[in-house]
Amino acid sequence: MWMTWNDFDRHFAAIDTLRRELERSVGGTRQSRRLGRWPEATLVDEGERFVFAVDVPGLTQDDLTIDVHNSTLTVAARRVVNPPEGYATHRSERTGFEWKKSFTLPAKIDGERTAANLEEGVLTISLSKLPEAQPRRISIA
Amino acid sequence: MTTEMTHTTASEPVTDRPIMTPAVDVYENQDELLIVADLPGVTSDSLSIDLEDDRLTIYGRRKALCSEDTPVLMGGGRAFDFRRVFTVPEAVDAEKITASLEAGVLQLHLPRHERTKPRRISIRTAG
Repeated sequence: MWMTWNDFDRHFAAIDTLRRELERSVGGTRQSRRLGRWPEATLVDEGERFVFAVDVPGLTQDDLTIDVHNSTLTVAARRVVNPPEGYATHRSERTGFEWKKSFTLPAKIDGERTAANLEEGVLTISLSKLPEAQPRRISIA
Repeated sequence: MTTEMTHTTASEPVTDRPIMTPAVDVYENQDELLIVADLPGVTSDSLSIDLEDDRLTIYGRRKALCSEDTPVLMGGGRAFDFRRVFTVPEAVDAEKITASLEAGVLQLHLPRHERTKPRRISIRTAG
């Protein structure tokens, strides 16, 4: 599948958008930049699918909402950190957070074949590309 | 930023594996110190907690999200380590330290020695 320059441009524009999203999300205060940065999100292209991952330590599936629409992934997360009862606080670097972020992926997603997994405080979402968006190798006749 | 990193990790690692400082809460009550650390992506197998003299080292290894040749469109996805070192007060009973890891959050209980627990002295009044 040949890419036109236009396709090429669009592809990178999407990455730029993602990068801006990420940079904005890690901006925040000095404190949060040095310690836990929320959300620490990663997106990789595995050919047939994208894999999105974000660190959400301490969260259960009830604290997360995931929506996929066309090529947009929207994730919302909420964490409340309360000091345990009867304890004095010496340090409190773990902050609560509440965010909702949309990510525009550089290909159309098959919403039916999207799977999410929450393990060890990392949310991983597997997003299969629609057949027409999958990479193809052209054999030379 | 760089100086802060150097400050928190006094020694330099030999391998080219980034070291992150995890966010930590420290609480205390009459019975114990409680350390809570965010260690997303760390399993109990890849976490070590060592106490040497009064140095408590929390060290968690985290796998890469994908193989090296997979294109990364955003973020890192690289393997890295979490590391944090605390100086533990003498009052802590090293034998009785317990730890649990759940959903990427470590809870480390450091109980005080019985003899160092605060006691309230009752005052007897004459008559």
